Amino acid sequence: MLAILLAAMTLVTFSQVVARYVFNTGSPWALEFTIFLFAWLILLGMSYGVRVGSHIGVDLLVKALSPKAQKVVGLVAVGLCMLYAAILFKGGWDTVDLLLLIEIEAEDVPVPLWIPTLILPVGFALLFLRFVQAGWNLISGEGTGMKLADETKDAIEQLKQSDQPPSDQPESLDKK
Amino acid sequence: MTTAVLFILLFSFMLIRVPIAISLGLASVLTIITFSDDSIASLSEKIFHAMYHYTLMAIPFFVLASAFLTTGGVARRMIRFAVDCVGWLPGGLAMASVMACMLFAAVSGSSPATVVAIGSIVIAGMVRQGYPLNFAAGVICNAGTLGILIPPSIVMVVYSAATEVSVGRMFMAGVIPGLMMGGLLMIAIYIAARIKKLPAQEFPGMGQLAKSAGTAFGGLFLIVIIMGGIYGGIFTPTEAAAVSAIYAYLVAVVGYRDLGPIKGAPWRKPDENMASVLLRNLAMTFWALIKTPIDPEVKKVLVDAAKVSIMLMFIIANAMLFAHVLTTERIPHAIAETITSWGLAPWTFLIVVNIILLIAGNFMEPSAILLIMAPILFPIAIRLGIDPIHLGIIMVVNMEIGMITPPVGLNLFVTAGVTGMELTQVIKAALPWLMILLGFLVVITYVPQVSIFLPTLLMGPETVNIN
Repeated sequence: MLAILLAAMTLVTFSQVVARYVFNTGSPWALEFTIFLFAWLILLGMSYGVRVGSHIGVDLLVKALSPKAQKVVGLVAVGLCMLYAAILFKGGWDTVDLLLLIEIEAEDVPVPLWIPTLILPVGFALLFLRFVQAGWNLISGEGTGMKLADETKDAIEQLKQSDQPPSDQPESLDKK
Repeated sequence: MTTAVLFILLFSFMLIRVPIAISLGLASVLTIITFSDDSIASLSEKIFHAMYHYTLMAIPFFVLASAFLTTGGVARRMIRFAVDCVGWLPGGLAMASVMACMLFAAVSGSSPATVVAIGSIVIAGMVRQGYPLNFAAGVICNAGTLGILIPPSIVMVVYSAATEVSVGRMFMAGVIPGLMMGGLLMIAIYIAARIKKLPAQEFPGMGQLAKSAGTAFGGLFLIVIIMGGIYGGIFTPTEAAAVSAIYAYLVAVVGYRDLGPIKGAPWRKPDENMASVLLRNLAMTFWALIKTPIDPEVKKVLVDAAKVSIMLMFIIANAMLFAHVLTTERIPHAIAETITSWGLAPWTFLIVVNIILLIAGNFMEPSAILLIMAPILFPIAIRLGIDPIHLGIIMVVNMEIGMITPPVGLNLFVTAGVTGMELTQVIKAALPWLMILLGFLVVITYVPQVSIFLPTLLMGPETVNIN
């Protein structure tokens, strides 16, 4: 899903350039359409980010605590994240509600504005659920904190993958 | 009062390991709910509207392009080219690494990505050749920071979005400082190599050089597309980013065939005649394009790029919310008043800027710092007659330094990960090179010509509208 959104964004923007130079036209709604795709990508993606642990945080202080204290702090942190998601979900809900009431259309894309905006409550609701899940995992004993990105680990993993094709390694590095 | 609450909330959230994005967002949301009567709906809308910054859309595209290039073996070809170029000088391999970092920086927008792509290959190579591990790690750790100074650069895109300075101009302004810093590092390596008697390689000969230039050309041409496209007025920076993502895909999948449906297929089989080569490759290219949407490797690259973009944009959207709270509380205004009332000369103001940014750079993600600090520093700088582009480059160089200073220096962690060294060891290894970077910062700060010469030459003087 995320891959499709990102690919669609890229292709629409690219096709605009092609359309302008090759066919000398361009679609007036392409720009706004990519903006909506962009918003959907980010707002749907943020809950996915919680699941795979790609959001970054600072664990300097937490690391120094005992495992038990880490768990308590971890729960507080998850609670705060849930609070955040809940508040913005309410905000998103209100926004959509208002847009339904006044029925304005998007500027260029011929849809009522509340449809693209729908992703706000949906995205934050999903985010909330992911945090509930993270909190539940904590309580039921898995780990001592939320899964967050570990750049170092990522880098090493990527290294392992990219190290495989030695056939094409720069031979010149080895010759004396 | 409000300001104090805002910042105390932010820092306490961050300390207990709430993700940075949510720390920023929650601190602002709570502050607004308590101290102002904005509706919650307007806050959610702010997040949605962060995506309306068309400039920012360049970020996912550049991330995607660099994901294709990294997995697509472009880095490897660039390194080979760099080694053939300067490898025969004393300390040549180290210099080649710096050059490879510069080349890769010119096609990717991020600094840790540069360290991973180049460092993972060259550090091992340098050690095999008898360079001390410390030396190799220190060089790469620092040269990797060029990723955000040499255009295209994600950090510059963020600065432009925050201050409404032209992205094209910022990119152009990064060229000379980027080349200068790369040059400085290389000179330092040359001197160190002479003193330490580090090994050199033999000159591979012009034929070999031309050959490696040829193989690296697919990647290098991207520089021409991006810079030429933007300055030739062919497309906007965001479109340039999208075009380079598509181009990077074509290079990786159809050109180098390092991933995707026709991975590893040779361009020409032994004893194949030209006509059949042509036909077979045409058919294969066609086949590759059709099969791409269901290819697992292409999908993996897309998902990885999406993950990074989401992480960055989620921080940026929340940082914008934070900056919005600052503005509604008139905090930038108040700080600007205070600082102006001190009657600082531009050069003392710039010292203050550097100190603040260096400290902030140690604790936070660069794009978040820029979004928070730019609205505060920008108006003061304009009033003092400092060029906005110049200020932008100063901020970027500061962010570079932040990436190699503890405790939150991303490049340090990545280098430690790539080499398997202890973090403290990496810090020590990076220290001498950090000094060069600091010296470079002084030059950048007090010689504005370095940054604004090229954009002014090519695009005329900058005009600013102060709001």
